[in-house]
Amino acid sequence: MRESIMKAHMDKRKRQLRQGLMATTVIAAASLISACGGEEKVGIDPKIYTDSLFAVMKADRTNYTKLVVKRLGPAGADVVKPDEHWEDLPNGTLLPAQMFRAGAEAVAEMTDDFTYSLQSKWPINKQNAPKTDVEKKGLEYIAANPGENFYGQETLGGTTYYTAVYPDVAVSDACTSCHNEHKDSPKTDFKLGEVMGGVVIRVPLTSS
Amino acid sequence: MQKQMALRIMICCLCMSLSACSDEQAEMLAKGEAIYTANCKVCHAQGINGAPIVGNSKMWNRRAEQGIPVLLEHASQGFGLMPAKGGNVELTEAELELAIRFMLSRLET
Repeated sequence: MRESIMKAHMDKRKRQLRQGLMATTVIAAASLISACGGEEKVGIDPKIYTDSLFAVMKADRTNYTKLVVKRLGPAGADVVKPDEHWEDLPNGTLLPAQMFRAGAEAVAEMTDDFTYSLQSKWPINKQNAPKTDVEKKGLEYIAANPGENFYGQETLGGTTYYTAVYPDVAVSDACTSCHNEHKDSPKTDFKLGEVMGGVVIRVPLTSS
Repeated sequence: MQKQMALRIMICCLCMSLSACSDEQAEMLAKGEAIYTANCKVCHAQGINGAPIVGNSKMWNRRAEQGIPVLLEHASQGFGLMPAKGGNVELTEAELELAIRFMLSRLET
């Protein structure tokens, strides 16, 4: 009797040990499998991403202004004519803001990973007015706080976006005089150094 | 005794004059900051049109080496894509210098 009880106890212990060993083996195998071949995903902070994009945009626009418009335009060698209607002129070339927009259009043809646009609360072309609440809020913020950027999030069409708005400044008399004298401009008293509009960069955070 | 008293008085006078200097410097920087904020920050905080960004040693060091008189001339007359006096013709040379000194003070030493 005692022997059979002990044997039953021993069998139970053996069963428990086997089950424990199996469980340990399964867990160890699962850990190995999950550790193999899978790379840890590292992302970039959205603010750093949009700030970096804007740094490139700023640099390109500055270089275009300095090396093409100023150097080759009427104030320099006078071999090109930067003009709003550059396409109608034999030696016409884009204004810096138009060059900027051309870049935005080219990017939009290439990728959906980000978009950018030049917008204003006082656009000559109404298509360039802000449309979303974040765009409006951003343009108001940068106009009221010269030297600062605006960052926000918005959900459009089921996708959440990180939206950054950077100031576009009247850096020369050419900016202020053209806008102030333009028949379609809703604001005609821009001053040098004033924020005229903003660059809106939008990055999707989730997929739709 | 009298010598000790005289020495103490001298030390007190020295401390007071040093603190007065640092107060004056703080006041000048505050004035410079106000001028910078109202006239220069819009471009120099962001690097608009290549403006050297305040606090950015990489952009400022070779400019700082040119000295205040050269920087003042550039700010006053305009330089590169920077309009004269940042576009505010009302600014005086003294005000420009205060703003320049403020911007230079933001460089890490």
